[in-house]
Amino acid sequence: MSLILGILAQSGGAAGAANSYESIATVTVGSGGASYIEFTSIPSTFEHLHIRYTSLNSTTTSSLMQVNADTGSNYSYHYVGRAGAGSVVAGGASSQSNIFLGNTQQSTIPLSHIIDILDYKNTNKYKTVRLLSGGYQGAYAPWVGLLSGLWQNTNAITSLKLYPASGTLLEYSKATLYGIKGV
Amino acid sequence: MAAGSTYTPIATVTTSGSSTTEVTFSSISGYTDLICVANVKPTANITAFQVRFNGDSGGNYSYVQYSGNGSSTATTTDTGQTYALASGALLNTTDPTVYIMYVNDYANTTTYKTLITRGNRPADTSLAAVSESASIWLSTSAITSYTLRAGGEVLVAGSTFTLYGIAAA
Repeated sequence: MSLILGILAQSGGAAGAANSYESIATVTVGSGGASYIEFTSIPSTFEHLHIRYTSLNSTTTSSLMQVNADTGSNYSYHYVGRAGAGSVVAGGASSQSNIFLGNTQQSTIPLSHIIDILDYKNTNKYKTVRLLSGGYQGAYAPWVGLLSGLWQNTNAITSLKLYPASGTLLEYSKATLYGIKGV
Repeated sequence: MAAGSTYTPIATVTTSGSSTTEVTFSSISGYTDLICVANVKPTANITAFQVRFNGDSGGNYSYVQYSGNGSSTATTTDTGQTYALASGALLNTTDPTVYIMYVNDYANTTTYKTLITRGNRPADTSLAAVSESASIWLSTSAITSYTLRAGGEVLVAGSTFTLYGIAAA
């Protein structure tokens, strides 16, 4: 037996249970591609940030993020996951100029990222990023991983940049920034 | 600047009886991304907890997965499958497995759809496991229905499934 449940569209569906999760801005890459997606002037009216990011890439490379346009060696990251053929992998690095978000291939198959940035406006501590990313971008190089990142700066986060280490983001790449309120 | 509240619970299903093998959310529309949260237990051991979109049971899915059980790790990958993978082995233990599953941009009609999932089966035995998977559905159709199934086995009564919609600005 199967349970089949019909669903109403948003306007007529179940009422939202929470009012703490708000969409701030969306960027969709147009024809011709783009070098990066950037969110600027991020409001300080939330407690946490959440990014849902789908990248399509022109070349095999790494998916990366920078905070507040900081290009210095102020980032660290580590991960566990499965990359390409073989076994489970783990790794990390410190004193980096960005946060690693996952491996991506030259592909029209999207790499999905679910990113949380906790306590992003707190000026008393460094900022921590956690994320899940994955995509089956060809039998030779699938990627799925659980990652953490650190930005060693106590400034409030006001901008975020998502970009590939090389090549460009292809048309239809898309990122949305959400804010989560506290009580 | 913010566009307003989102992350809306669309529907929840709690299984009952002794014959439910799958749960389907249908007529999905009006959002940008989907999140499904499930707390499930089958009545028999299965090799995969599965997801199908739009009722597609053809060989149009591929996936990669890794897992750990506290003492060792495992990984699998496969192409041409008849389902997207929420996780590998789902066991008929006393402890349910919980999942959170994400589909970004589910309604777009220009790209294939990626499902990424996390599964946790906490247990006070060697059956404990944590897993993560990424699957591709080789279709550019908008997702309008979302089926979760325990490989054809019956789901224990009280298994729960909630689908959430997120609308982008």
